[in-house]
Order: sequence, then C-alpha cells, then structure tokens
Amino acid sequence: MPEQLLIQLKDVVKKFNKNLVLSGVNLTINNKDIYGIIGTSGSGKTTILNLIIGFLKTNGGSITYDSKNISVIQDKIHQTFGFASQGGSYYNKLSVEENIAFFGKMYNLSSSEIKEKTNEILGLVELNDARNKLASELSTGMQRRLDIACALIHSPRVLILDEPTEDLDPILRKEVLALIRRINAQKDTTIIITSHLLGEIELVCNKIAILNNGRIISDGSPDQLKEGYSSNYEISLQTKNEDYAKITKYLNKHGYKKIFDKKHRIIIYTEKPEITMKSMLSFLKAKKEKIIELSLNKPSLEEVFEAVTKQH
Amino acid sequence: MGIFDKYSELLGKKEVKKKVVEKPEIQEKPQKIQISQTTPKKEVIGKQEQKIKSSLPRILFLSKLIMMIKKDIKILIRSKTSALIVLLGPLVIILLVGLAFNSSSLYNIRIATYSESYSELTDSITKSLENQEYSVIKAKSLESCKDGVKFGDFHLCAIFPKDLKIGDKDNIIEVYVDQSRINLASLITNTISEKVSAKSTELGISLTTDMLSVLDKTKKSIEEKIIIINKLISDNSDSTLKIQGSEDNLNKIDLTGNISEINFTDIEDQVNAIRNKYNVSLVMSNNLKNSIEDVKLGVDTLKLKLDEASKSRASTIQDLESIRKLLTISLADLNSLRTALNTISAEVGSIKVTDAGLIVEPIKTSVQPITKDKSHLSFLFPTMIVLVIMFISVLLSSTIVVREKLSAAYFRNFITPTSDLLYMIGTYLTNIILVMLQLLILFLVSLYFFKNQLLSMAPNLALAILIIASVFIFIGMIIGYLFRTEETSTLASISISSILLVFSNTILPIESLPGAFREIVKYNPFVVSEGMLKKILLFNTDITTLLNSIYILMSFIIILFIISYIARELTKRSI
Repeated sequence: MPEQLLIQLKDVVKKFNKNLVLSGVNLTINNKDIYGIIGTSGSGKTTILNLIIGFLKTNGGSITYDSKNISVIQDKIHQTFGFASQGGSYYNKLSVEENIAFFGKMYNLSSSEIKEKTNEILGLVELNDARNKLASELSTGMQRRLDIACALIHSPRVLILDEPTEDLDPILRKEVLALIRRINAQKDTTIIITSHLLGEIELVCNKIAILNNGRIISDGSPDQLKEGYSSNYEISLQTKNEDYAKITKYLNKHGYKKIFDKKHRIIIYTEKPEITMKSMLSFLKAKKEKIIELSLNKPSLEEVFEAVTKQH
Repeated sequence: MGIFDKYSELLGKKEVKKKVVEKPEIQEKPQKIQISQTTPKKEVIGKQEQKIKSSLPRILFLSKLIMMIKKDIKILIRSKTSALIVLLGPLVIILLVGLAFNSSSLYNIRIATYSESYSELTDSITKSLENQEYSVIKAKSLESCKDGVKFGDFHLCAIFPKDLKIGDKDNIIEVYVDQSRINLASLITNTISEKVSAKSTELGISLTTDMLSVLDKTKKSIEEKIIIINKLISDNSDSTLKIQGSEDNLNKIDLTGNISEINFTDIEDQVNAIRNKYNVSLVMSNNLKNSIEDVKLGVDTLKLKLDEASKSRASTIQDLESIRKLLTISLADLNSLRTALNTISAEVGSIKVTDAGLIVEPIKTSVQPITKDKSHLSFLFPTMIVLVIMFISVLLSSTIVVREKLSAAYFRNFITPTSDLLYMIGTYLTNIILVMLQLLILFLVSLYFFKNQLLSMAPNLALAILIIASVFIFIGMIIGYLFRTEETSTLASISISSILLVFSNTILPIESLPGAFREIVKYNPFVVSEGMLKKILLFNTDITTLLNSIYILMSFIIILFIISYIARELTKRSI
C-alpha cells in the first residue's frame, strides 16, 4: 500500500525575537506514521509541534496538511489534530470524565457523542476505574494517559505527543509506549512524537527525524538511520564478577577503542563482530569469567544520534 | 437527552463529523441522503433541516458556554477556600457594615474644654454638649487640652473666654480639632458649632424678648403722652386766640378822646365874655373859673391817667404779643414733638416681626434629607455596593483568569476549534454569574436592613449592577491576563481597585482635586458607578434618566473587552 503524504514542512524558519530556533526544517509525515522527532533539550522539538498545530506562526517556509497550507485551514487543523503537551493539559480540579467531556464539547462533540467516546477512550487508555477521580488525585502515569485521552476525544486524525514519557518511571514509560502503539493500530491515527529518550523512540516510531541546532539533519526509518550513519555493530556483555576494567584493558590492547562501561554491562562497538566476540570469549574463558548475557545488535539510535550530531 | 444534545448530535453527524473526522467514508455518508431516502416529504424535511442548520451554531455556542461556566464553577467550588470567600464574603461584609453603620450617631466623642475661669454661661454651654454621644472633660490647662487632641485623647478641644458673659465683645470660643481625621473633624466641628449656635440663639432670643418688651412699653407710653400733647396744643391754640382777642380788645380801647382838644383858654374867654355880658358876679365868675380850673385839672389828671393807661395797654399788648409768639413757638414745638412721637410710635408700631426668635434668627437653615432614610448605612449603601462589586469582580475575575492561564489545560484551549472570543465570553459569564450570585446574597441580607425598599427598585438596580460589574470584571480579566502569578495578579487587583477608590468621593470629595485631574477622575468607573447607584438607591431614579452614566460605562466595557482580548492573545507567548 503506497504511503499517503499527510504533513509536510518545507524550509520552515522560526525565530523568537532575534533568536533563530528553526532554520530550514524539512519534514515529510505520511498517513498512519508514528513519526519521532529526536533532539537534545532546547533543540526546537516542541516548537516544530506548535508550528504544525498552528499555535505558532512560521517566519518562513510552509507547512501543509493534506497539501493545504495549515495557516488557511486552522479550524480544520484544530478539529483534526490532537495534542498532548509535555506538562499535560487538563484541569486538576475536574474528574477524568469531566475533563474529557469538557474538551469533547470544545471539540464540537454532542453530549451523546461525548458519552459514547468517553467510554471508548477510557477503555483505550485504561482509565475506566478512575473516571470519577479528580485529575490531581491520579498517579503520574494516569495523568499522562488522561492527557492523551483528552487529545483523543474528538478522534483526531493526527495525534501529537510532546515528550509523552518524560518524568515517568520505566514501567509507566512502557505503558505509555504500549498505548501509543495501540492508538496507532486501533484508530489508524498518525502520531508525531518527540523525545530525547532515543531508546523508546526507536521502539515505537517507524520514521525518525534527528533535530540538531534548529535543523533536521537526518530522517528515515530507524534501520535506515542506523545503516546510514554507523558501520559498527554493538556487543553487549554482562558477566557475573563484573570485572569490566580487566576486559576493557584486554580489548584496548587488541585495538578496540569504542568500549563503554554501562554500570552492569559493557558495550563494545566493532566493525568485525565475529572476530571481536571470538577474541573476547577466549579471554573470558581463560579468566574463568561467567557470562550472564551476551548479545550482538545493530548499533543503537544513541550511537547514530551521536554520530550524526558530531558530523553537523 | 436535552435539546442541546439533540441538536448538537445532529450537528455532530452532519457538520462536525465532516470537520472532526476527515475520513472520506464518513464524509461520503451525510445524514441528508439518509433523510431523503427514508422520508417521503423531501421539501418539508429540507425546510426543517434548514431551520435546524441555522439554529445549530447558536445552540452549539450556547452549549459550549454552559460547559465553560459549569467547568469554571466546579473548579471554583472544589477549591474550598475560594468557594467560602466567594459565597460567604459578601454575606460577612454586608452583615458587618450593616450592623456597624445602621445609625446616624457618633459614639464616644470626647470633648475637652478649657477656660481660665468658667462662668455660668460657659457651664451652660458645656452642659448642652454633654449627652450620650459626647462626653465633656474639663482640661487642666490650655496645653493639655490642645495636646489631648494631638495625641488622640480628645476629639476636640474648646477654649472658652475667661468669665464668658453676654455683652462682652470677645465672646469667641476657639475650637481645636485634628484635621487629619478629615471626615470626623468636619462632622464634630459642625456639631459643636450647631450646639454653640443654638445656645447663642437661645440667649439672643432672651435678650431680644426683653428689648421688645421695653419697646412695647415705650410705644404705649408715647401714645399716652401724645394725647397730653394734643391737649396742650389745643390749649395753646385757645390761649393764643384768646390773647389775640385780648390784644384786639385792648387795641380797640380808645384812650385818646378829645381832651387835648378842650381849649380852656376859649372857655375862660367865653366865661369872661359871659360875665361881662351878663355881669356875672365875680364870685360866681371866680367860682366858675375855679370849676373850670378844677375841670381843667381833672382833665389834665385824666389825660395823664389816659396816657398812663395807653402806655400800660401798649405794654400789655406787647407782652401779649410776646406771649402769643411764645405760644406759637411752643405750639410749633408741641406739633413737632407730637409728630416725632407719632413717628416713633408709628415706627415702633410698624415693626411687624415681634417674635424674638424671628428677630434673632430671621432666616433659618433647615437641612432636610432628600431621602427618608437617616442612617449612615442608607447613605453608605450605594458606595458600599460599588465597593463590593469592584473588589469582588476585579479579584474574582483576575483570580479565575490567572488560574485558568496557569492551569495545564490553558494551552489546550488554544488548539481546540473553539474561538478565543468564546472562551473570553465564557470567562466573563462565569464571573458575572458569580458576582450576581454574591450580590443576590448581599441584597437578600440587605433586605433585613432596608425592608421592602429594595424590591421596588430591583429591575433598575439589577441592570445597573450588571453594567457596573461588567466593567470591573473586564478590568480584572485584563489584570489576570497580564500578570503571571496569582500573587502578583491579586496585588495588582487590590492596587488598581484601591486607586479607583482613592480617587473617588469616598475618601475625599473629587471637587477638592485640581481642575484637569478632576475632569479625568469624573470618568473613574467607580465614581460613575457610585453616582448611578446613589441615584437609584437613594432617589429611586429611573434608569432611563441615567443614560449618560450608562453610555460611559458601556464605552468602558467595549474598550476593556478589546483590551482583554488583546491581553489574552498576548498570553500565547508565555505558554
């Protein structure tokens, strides 16, 4: 099935006073994509989202939705886009149901539609049991899901999530990521997501754009990015004694320079994974080190991001 | 399902879904086709549909507004402190103010008096000051009297002249007040002046009554004396006439006769001739001659007497003439005296006002209230209402706006297909409902103090309050949009409300301000609102006669609405 172009940013420029935040940003988002925008804090991720939704105006370039400039179809954009902001956008003193009902009304839904969709959305975000609780009484993860529910009440065609897993613990992150996948799968919603947590972006997105210094320096699927920017493979090793200094010393001696100690494991980047693993295993056998976990992967997005940003 | 829901649902299916869900399959299934397929009377349905369509935006608009208001009120009520302040605040204010000002009296006013020597008059004046409102204390010295006012021990110090008594030229009572207590100073001074003036009038009446009594007695005495004078004049006239008559009579007496013409020589010659002719004896002739001589002697004597009588008559006539002249002069004097006395009597009689009170105080100033109410509360009520409206409206609206602005949900309001204008109207309506609710509570409590007076003016009052509250709500909304925290917004609300209050008639009359500034202050919404409510509440004026004030306030509403819209748009930058 051919990909259908939905949103396109062409040479978008955004300035805040004299501060140039975005310079010539180009993006192409297709229908039903889960599109990730990654970048360091302050790189302009949220600004891009605000431009797409029309909350901010561009200083140059164009943004189109369904081939129409968003500035002339603002009502349509508001009606067809859902947005879950970084800090959450709901009323703490309203219950889950009241929040959804309020925003449903603001999105022009009738009371019966609101009722119907509230049940559906609460089921989707798994907040059925908390529907009468005040938003302020919810856990952080539930609040994040409520925010997404508020953004989904009007069945948006495009859902924008600004750092949805920020400040969440690993379990809650997994919950939210699973929700994102569910929404995309069940409702065919195009999702645009920003994050600086590259690992999770990699898990959910089918397209990723890397933003650095106000420019998109690379975009594509995670695999395309990995292949395009790194010839290395990633060996992850965890041993029982965790004497990684000795292992690192040995590997350095044999010319492996890209070794990173990650607390309970080490990561070794190599262009010849078979030779490296063979050498390392013989060393471990000689030293009688017990292996807990050993894996060989394509390079992570972190490495790609590091490589790409260094280039630019 | 309510009517809004019913129509909204129709809207959702026909219009909204086209907007909400851009999926072609939904767009391809408009309700219209379904209706035309299932309904035989296509035209009728078409008309009905057009009607529904035309009313849909209005219904959606209303249902959104209702939702916004419900949301704002829920949020407010769920914040218990806010709910308490909003609902009980006005109740407490009106109760306190009502109880405190429901009287026109001053209480516990301490007056110090000092005099080097207290006279009976001084004591009577000080005694007249002493009642339940004022307590009079005799200061030990002039300094302690004045210092007492400075240090707040006394509200007023009255210095009486030494041995004050009626008739002294320098009967001046010096009064010292603390002018820094602006309203109280003038109030006490006026009261004291009134009391002293009343005492002074009382004394004046007493003196004037005495004087009038003396005048009355004098008039009566003059009238009595005029009768005597009239008699004297009459007597005088008679006497003059009689003297004149006597004069005439005297003048008429002929004292000359022909005695001087008697020629005794001829008589003697004739006697001689007769004697010669008739040979009269010598004796006889001599006798005759002797008789003639006797006659001659008698005639001479007579002549002398007549001369003397003539002289006496002339002298008498002269005297009588003098007396007559004197009498004439005296008569003139008497006439003059009578005229003078008549004039005095007439002038005394012409005094029409014989009432001592009227003479002492011919023109009285009687200050009549133009309303029946006499308590301070009645006069303060319009000001108090505007004050409550101003503070509640400004504080409430700024708080609601700033809370909304600071809430996480604020951002979402900008990305929904609901216009900014509608959000603003929603905020305004929430505020106006809450303010009106509070004022309703306030008025219900006020009914206890004002009985049924308020009910008769309720429609005018409601309209006026709606306009006034709108002005202050928009001021509060602007503050809410412009300030970034609840604390600064509250501070700004209080500051701006205080400025509006300071430059109004509440603290100082605006007439005391310099010209150009006064012209500006006249348009202070607090001043305009207070004037309008005073006219309605105190004089029961119809609102149609207050069009000028209404136009001014409506202009404020339009300008402030535009400013608050701009301010709201500016908040986008800080999100």
